[in-house]
Amino acid sequence: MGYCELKAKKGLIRVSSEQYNGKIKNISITGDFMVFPEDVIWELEKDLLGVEINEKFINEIVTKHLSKAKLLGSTINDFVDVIICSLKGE
Amino acid sequence: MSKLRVIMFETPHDGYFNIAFEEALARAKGCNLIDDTLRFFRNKNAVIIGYFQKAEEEVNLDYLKKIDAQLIRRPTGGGAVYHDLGNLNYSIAVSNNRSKYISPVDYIFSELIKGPINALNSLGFDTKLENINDIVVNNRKVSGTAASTSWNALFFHGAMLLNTDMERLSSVLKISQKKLIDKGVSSVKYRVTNLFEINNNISVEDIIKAFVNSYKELLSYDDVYYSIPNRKEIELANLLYDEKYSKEEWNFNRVSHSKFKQLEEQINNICNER
Repeated sequence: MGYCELKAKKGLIRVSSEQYNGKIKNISITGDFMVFPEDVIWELEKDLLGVEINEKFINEIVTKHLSKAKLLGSTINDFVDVIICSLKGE
Repeated sequence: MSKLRVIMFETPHDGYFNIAFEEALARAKGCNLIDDTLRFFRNKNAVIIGYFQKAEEEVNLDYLKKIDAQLIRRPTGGGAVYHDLGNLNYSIAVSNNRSKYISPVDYIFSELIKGPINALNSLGFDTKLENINDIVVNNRKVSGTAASTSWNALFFHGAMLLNTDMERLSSVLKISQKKLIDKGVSSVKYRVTNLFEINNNISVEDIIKAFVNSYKELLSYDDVYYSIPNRKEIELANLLYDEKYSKEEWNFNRVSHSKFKQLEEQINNICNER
């Protein structure tokens, strides 16, 4: 089980994750950040399941989902960094 | 002729219904069932967590139980807040057309957020916007705000500390060390304050009047009228209460709006009945 949190310009992003055989088994992105439309976070979590733990792949998936959203006080890189940090078990 | 409707509709003992009504208000505006509406309400004893938050990460659940407070997830992002009768909540739902030349989210956090700021300034408070969505008086946060653009309306709401029990607030909310370090303080109670501690000569009525005048001017309404919820708003709120806000699944498990498919159909039916 990996956990990491990142303080963005506005809001804290927390990621809890589990991996199995080098792939993402579970992932949960929580915190007091603001993203619009909100449900893009659940779509992102769903799309990350089963993905190989590879920074490039993860960056692509996060960017695919969050580039169509409006982030208030956080960046796509904030989300990429904290997800990868969690998967590294840091 | 554009009119601002004002409602003071609250169920302080039932925070679940109060928050269900928040979504109902946004939905009703999105379905064109109501005029633009400004609402005020209070909860007696509740913690309201943001849409993306996990209850156990943000709330001291043992203390929550000890003080017999309700825990309710709201439909918008942002952080957890403690509500008692010393906290005045405000929300406004306006037409999407307002943000024709700017993104809806930018409109909310550049224009609608001026409502509380102008209101407090008109009462003599030295009020500023800080950190995107915090309303600050004398360098202390007095109101946090949040928003949604999900239901064909612009929905903006906030909680304003007037005379809240700060001991309870700081005991029930868990604040991440990272956030406290970022703010340069050691505890949440050192960065928030009650408005009545700054000036106890104003009343709740003064604040409400100032909000109403502020939004009337800000959004150029021709008139303001006071009202009560209509039948369809109550129907929407009852549905949202029964199917979502009164459920442990919603409040504790962090599930998305889209999980409630049947509820969505029922809401659409109410919206489309003419």
